[in-house]
Parts: sequence; C-alpha cells; structure tokens
Amino acid sequence: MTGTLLDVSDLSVTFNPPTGAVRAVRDVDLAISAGEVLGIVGESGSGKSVTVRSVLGLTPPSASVGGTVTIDGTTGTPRDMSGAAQKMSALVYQNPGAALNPVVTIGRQLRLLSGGADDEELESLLGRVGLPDPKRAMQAYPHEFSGGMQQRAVIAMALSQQPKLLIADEPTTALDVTTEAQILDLILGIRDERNLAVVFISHDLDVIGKVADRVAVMQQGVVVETGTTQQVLHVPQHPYTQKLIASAPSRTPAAITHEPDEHAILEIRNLAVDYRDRNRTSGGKVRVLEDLNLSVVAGETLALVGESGSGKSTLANAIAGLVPVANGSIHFQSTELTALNRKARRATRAQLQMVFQNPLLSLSPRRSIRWQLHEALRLHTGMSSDERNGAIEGTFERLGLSVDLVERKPHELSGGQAQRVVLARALVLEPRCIIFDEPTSALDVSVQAEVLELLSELQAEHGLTYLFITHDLAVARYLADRIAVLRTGKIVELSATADLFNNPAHEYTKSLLDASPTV
Amino acid sequence: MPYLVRRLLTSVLVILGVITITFVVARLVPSDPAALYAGPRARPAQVEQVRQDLKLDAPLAEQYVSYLGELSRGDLGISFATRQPILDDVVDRFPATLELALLATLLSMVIGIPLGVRAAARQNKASDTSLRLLAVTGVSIPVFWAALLSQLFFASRLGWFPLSGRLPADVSFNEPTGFFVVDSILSGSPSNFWAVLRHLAMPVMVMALFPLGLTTRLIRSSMIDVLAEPYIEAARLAGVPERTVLYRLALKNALAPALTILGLTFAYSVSSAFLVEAVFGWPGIGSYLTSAIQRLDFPVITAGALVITVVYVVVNLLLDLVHAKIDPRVQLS
Repeated sequence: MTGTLLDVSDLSVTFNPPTGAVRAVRDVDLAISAGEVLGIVGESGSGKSVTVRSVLGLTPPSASVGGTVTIDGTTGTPRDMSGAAQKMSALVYQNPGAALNPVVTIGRQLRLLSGGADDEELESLLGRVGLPDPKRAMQAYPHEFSGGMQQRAVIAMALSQQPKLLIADEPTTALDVTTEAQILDLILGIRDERNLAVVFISHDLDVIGKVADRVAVMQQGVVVETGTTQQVLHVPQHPYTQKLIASAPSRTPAAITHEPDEHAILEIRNLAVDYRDRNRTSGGKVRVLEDLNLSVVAGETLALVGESGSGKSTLANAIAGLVPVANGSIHFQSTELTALNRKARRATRAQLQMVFQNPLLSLSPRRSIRWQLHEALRLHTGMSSDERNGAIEGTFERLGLSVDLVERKPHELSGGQAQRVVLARALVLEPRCIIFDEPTSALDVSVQAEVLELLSELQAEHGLTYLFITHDLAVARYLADRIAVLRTGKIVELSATADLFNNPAHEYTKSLLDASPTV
Repeated sequence: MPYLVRRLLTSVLVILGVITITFVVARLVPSDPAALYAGPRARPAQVEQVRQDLKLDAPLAEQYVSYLGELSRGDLGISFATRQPILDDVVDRFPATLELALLATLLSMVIGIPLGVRAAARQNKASDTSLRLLAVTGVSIPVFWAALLSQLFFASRLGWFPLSGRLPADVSFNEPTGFFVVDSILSGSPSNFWAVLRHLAMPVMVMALFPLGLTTRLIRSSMIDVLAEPYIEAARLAGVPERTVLYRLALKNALAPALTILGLTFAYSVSSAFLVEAVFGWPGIGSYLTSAIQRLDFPVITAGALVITVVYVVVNLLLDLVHAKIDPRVQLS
C-alpha cells in the first residue's frame, strides 16, 4: 500500500493476571495513511484502547503482545516498534482534566512536552486550537479552564510534538454536545492543515459517523467489520454492527404512549439555589438556579436537557433535598418539601427516589447487594426480614436480574447490572416518582438501549413519574413526553418532545439541536 | 489578609482550650503542690504559708483567671522546683530542642524524598523492596532503643561521636541565637563548629529514623498514584527525560498530599524529644519537662503543654500556606 503510515497485522494482546490469561485483542489488522481518519468503534471492553496502547508499548510488561507493526518500511514486533510508534504519534485523552498536570502551568507543560519549542511558536499553537488569549493561557493552571478549553490545551500539547499520527481516545465523551462539535471540527481542521493521520476511538457511532473516513468495528477483541464510513454505517454487514446501529437511541422511534394524569405530582415555584463560591468577588455566593418554575404531571416523563453547568443536576439535588434551597418552594404530592423538617422529609423519600449517573458511586463498595437493598427497606418500611427478601426477589425478577446477584459486591457486577441494581433499590420502595441524573451516560450504547427500554416498560406497568436529566438529546427524544431546556439556571423552553424537535422556539434550543451529531 | 486573621483567631481558641484542659487536669492530680514546694521536711504551718503565698488556697476559677492574666503578660509563672521564672528556662532550653527537631526533619526529607521517588519509579523491583524494608524498620524501632544502640556502637565501640551532651565541657562560646550550629559559626572557630556537629550527629540521626521511614513510604505511595496519571504518560510518550518526569512533573503533585503528614512529624519530633534528650543528656525542653513531671511541678507542666501546642499550631498554619503555594488549586479562603 502506498502512503501507509502505520500498518498493524495479526496483533494480539493477552493479559496474564494471576486469575488466568485474558485475550483482550486477537488477529487485528489495521492500516492508516497520512491525512486519513480511522474510526475504531465498539463497546467498552471491546479492545479499542488496548489495540492502540499495545502499539505504543503502553501495555503492562506482563502482557504478551504478538503480531507485526510496520512503520516507514520497517517491520518488527509491536514491542520493538513501540519506540518508533511513540515518536511519530501523540495522544489525546478522554478526560482532559487528567491529561494536564494540575500543578504546572500550561506554558511550562507545553515547553517540556514539545522538547524546547519557543514561546512564540507555542502561543500561536494555543491560538490555533482556539484558546482566546494564548499569552494568558500560557500562565494559566489547568483548573482555571473549562473542560472544552482543557481539551483544546491537550490537543495543543499533542500537536507541539509535531506528530504524524494523532490518537484520540474518546476525546469528546466527557464534553457536552456544543463543545463536542467544536472539538470535532478542530480535529478535522488540523488534519487538513497538517495532513495528519488520526485514529479516533469512540463508542459513539454518531461521532464516528461525523469524523471518520474509514471505520473498524471491534467486538470482544476482534475487528468484526472494516470499511468506509458510508459502507459500515449505512450497509452494515456484520450482525454486531447492525445491532450497534439499531441500539443507538436516535434511530429508534419513540414507542411509548401513556396518558398522564391531569394533576401535577411535583410542583416547583420560584426556585432559587445558591452555591458557595470560593472567589470572593461575587460576595461568596453564585446563583445556580434563578426563579425556576416547573410542574411535572403524574405518569409523565419530563426530560431536562442542557449543557454541563446549566444547573440540571442542581435542580435534581434540590428536589431530592441534597442541596439547600435559597428561595421558592417544591411541592411533592401536595406536601411542601422545603417546609419539612429532616424527619418528615425522610418519610417522603421512599416516594421520591433518585438514580445517579455512576452506579458504582451510588453503591457501597464493601457491602453485598443484599445488605444494601435490605437497608433501604429497613429504613423506609416496617417489613420483616422474609418480607424484605420477597420484595427484593420480586423486584429483581421484574428488572431481569438474576437473584444470585444479591450475594455479590458492587465491583463484581457489570456496569449495566450495577445500574439495574441501583434501579432495583429505588423501585423496591415502590416510589411514585424517580429522578434520574444521566443514568445511562456511563453505559455502552447497547446496554443503554436495554435500560431505556426497561424504564419505559416499568413506567407503563406502575404509572411512575420520571424526571429525567440528560445531556443527550437522542435519549431525551426516546424517553420523554415533554422536554425542558435549561440554560444558566433558567428554563428557556418547555414543550412536547415532538414539538421541540420539529419547531424549536428558542435560539439556544436550535443551537443545541444543531450541535447534536444526528438528531 | 482575612484568611490569616481567621486562622490566627482559631489558633488562639485552640491554645486557650489546651491551657484550660492542662490547668484543670494538673489540679485534679491527687497530690499537694504546696507540700511539694515546701519540701519534705517542712512543718504543716510552713506548708500552709506556702499555700497562701502561691494563692493555692483560692478557688480554682480564681486561680485560672489569674493564670490567664499572667500568661497574657507573657509570664509563664515560677517553677516550684527551680524557683526560676519558667519563661527564662524555656527560652534557655527551647532552642536546643528546636535545633534537634529541625535538623532531624531536614535530614529525613533530604534523604527520604529521593528514596521515596526512587522506590516508586522502581515499584516492586528489588531496590523498592529493600527500601520498603528499611522504611518499615525506621518507623518501628523504638527511639530509646536506637539511641542506646547508637551510643553503644558509635560512641563506646568506635568512638566516632561523643556519648552525650551538647558540647564538651571545655568548649564555650557566645550564644546569641541558642542554635549552636549558628552560634559556633558566628564564633568564627572551625573547631567549635566541629564539636557542635559531632554532638548533634547521634541524636539527630536517631530522631530522624521515624520521620525518614514515614517520608519514604508516604512519598513512595503518593508518587505511585501520580505516576499512573495520564499527564505523566503523556509526558513520557512525548519523550521527556525520566528524571524531569519524576522530579519536575510528578514530585510536586506527590508532595502536596504527603506534606501535611510530614509537617506534623516535625511537631511530633518536638514532643517526642523526651526520650532522645533523656538518653543523650540533651539540655532541651524534653528533659526539662520530664523532670518537671516527676516533681509535679504544675506551672512547668502547663507551660510545657502550652509550648508544644503552639509549635503544632504554628506548624499547621505554615503547612497550609506552603500547600497553597505548591498546589494552585488550593485557595486560602
């Protein structure tokens, strides 16, 4: 092949933990040329990152790596070639906050990583990646930047090494949709200017569809399908690719119809929430939510969408009583929550449950699932031990969870199982309303689809009310009856799901819809 | 700086609390300070006279208030045993302890930090394992035992260092600072300086053992965490030399979490000087307090607790300031 920059063939990686060998990658063939964007797509654990990291020599020494790598006409084992691979490539990480040294200024990091480029060069690079004030950015520490700006700085750091190959490992997963679109544009723009080869790893088919020229689909360590992006996304050959595409939420039509009650179950009036600010210029307080009004009708799903920092989670936390309310009222089933003392408030909690983004952070790592579910029931009901066991088993069955799982600890569960267990802990209390804070964004697409489907079934069965927070418009479209768009602490638009997508009224809603990859 | 003002105010509260507790506890001990002060051969009338002179017959609250009043004027009271103003004794002896603790802490950091970095960089290799063994030994050896062994070996057997004391009997010089390392340099005589160092060597080494082991282990474990961070991987991939990665990119991150504990070990050395000073006949605050406790010399005991508390409070405050200097994410407000 002419112009091939990096050619990997027969790559296999086996990890050798004491518990027995695990083949993470098998028989992978990949090739990439200058100026080309190769997308690698697959669920977490499919071997996307391991493939790339083994070529760079970043797998642990105990792992066995086989196959051959060809760079610039030289062929060798992956380990022998890892030096050359490192030299010509630079990495962009998923979490820009972790990819920047927190106690070293951006300028100093750039100087060290670029191997002695002069400041003028580095400043122009920072300008190129879209940082507004390069001179100041050189002096800044990473924590002074937003996530999007941090990722721009990481890209600048990668480019300062004059790579021929840019490896981007889920570079936009931690960012909101608007920023994601900007970063994708930036990467493509730089590719064009420098004739860079880009390996773009993502679990998100929509993102891959936007940036990649060619796509490799990985499943359980094997490349099951490769081809041009057009071919793979529109005429998928392999059943796994077909399943991946089918389970991307945006392509599934809204399937649920149920009739909400007329009366509001949750009524929020003139709500204001403040956060303490460490910066004294603002008087020690920042208003996160301002004069917010919202009512949720019994039996409906109301989705709250908005960028990170818009106040979505703060609203959820205020309703759940996790942050103090500065002003206004929250009525739940005609009880004013904000007026209750702690004890009375606790009595309402069984009825109003909350499910968070990261299931492993919502479960105690040291206790069995059984213990944690029993505790929820002990706190909120007067059930006997046998009754509690019965209730737990019933709930597990309804959620399609094997009853054996109750003996496990959280780390022995997969991400999807753990989120279902968290859901079980909420459901076993027979709540009337559940608040979800990005419950599926930590999950793989196919697992996400299963969980979303389960949620709508449960709602139909039990007449549950959902307040569903998400930054993913496709998820909101799939699940919600109505969508509220939140921006800087205010609701800028609230309408029925179909109306919002067909006739967005507010400018901000339009820009959100434009930025979202496929919706 | 409002932050400093607030911290200083809370520090005053902490110190006041410690004063109150030690004052009350010292008075609860079932023993008669007046009898102790008057001496074993004093007649009851004399003891009664002492009681009235020292105002020990006044109600506890009144004694407490007058004690606070004296403290606020910088008067720590009079030692029952030496009949000297305690402040003079403390000013006299405190530099000796401080010199010991400062040098021991310095030594443990100068050696312990590079050792910790090295151990982390070679995690689970032979040198890491042997360093870990060394660190555990340092932390677990009782300090008095190490002191006795070093006297036996380095002083008696090898004769490298003097057995005890701060200076040979025939050496003396002006003591403007009370820190003999400084004073002997100011005296302009190299032989004075050499004598001071020889006397310092063993107590400093013995006192450094515990903080040295602790520093090595703390730096090792926080370096291991930092070295696993993506920003370190990115720097290594970019070809930054390993030395630069370790000492200029990683260490600063690893230092911040370790710093709090390292600083507290300094304060700990001051209060743990009792045993080392006792073994080495070191004329510091530790040996002073030991004898005060044996004699139930209440004013000295309370004053000693006060001095140690102030050391802790000051060190903690300094640590917070240094922490903010190292880690730009820490804001002092």
